Amino acid sequence: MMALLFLIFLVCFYLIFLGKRKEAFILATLNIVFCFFMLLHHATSTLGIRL
Amino acid sequence: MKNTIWQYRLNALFIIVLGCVLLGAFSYQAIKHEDPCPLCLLQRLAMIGITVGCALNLKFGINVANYGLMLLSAIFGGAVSLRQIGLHVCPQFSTFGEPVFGYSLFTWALFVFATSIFAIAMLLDMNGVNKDKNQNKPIALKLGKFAFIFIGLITIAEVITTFNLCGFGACQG
Repeated sequence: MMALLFLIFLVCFYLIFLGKRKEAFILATLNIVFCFFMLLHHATSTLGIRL
Repeated sequence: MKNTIWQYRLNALFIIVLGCVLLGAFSYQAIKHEDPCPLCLLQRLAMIGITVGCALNLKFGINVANYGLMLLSAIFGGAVSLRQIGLHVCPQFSTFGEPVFGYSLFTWALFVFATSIFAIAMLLDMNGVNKDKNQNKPIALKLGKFAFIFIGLITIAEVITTFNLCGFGACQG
């Protein structure tokens, strides 16, 4: 999953290189939001807590 | 116009500094043969997220929305670092990895994110002062091109090493 998140950022750089601002910006923002969910997943899985 | 060029230069410098931090983490990983934990990878993702905002500024011109993306990434990275500090803060629990200059790598990461938030605030302040109508014209700086290639190569390396470490599944640690 982490490799996929890095890959999405790589795609963002490629989109920037191609000159597609809006697509790169939306993809990067969604990726960061997804990273927040990964942090939440890590917190719930390691501590065994339920939200 | 002069102010705009300085903003481009500072954005390029921001990418290079964060790239050097990522390169340092890579070399630490290679020299000490320590695989990064999932939270370390999330911190690296946050650093790359900040550089995406800088790259957007360099390619398409200075935009407040790009600084918003950078702030979001920096706050996320700070939250991850604080969580990892919280996991290892008690003396009876072991720390992750050897300390560098007296602090763990995740504590250094928190310093990096806190400094990034301060730097983004300064850049936003510069943007507020700038009233130049030509500010959205992309400027092809040599420093910007170098920064773009540098962070692109580091991101490729991150994809390959992370894929080798945990594939496309969730990293265990």
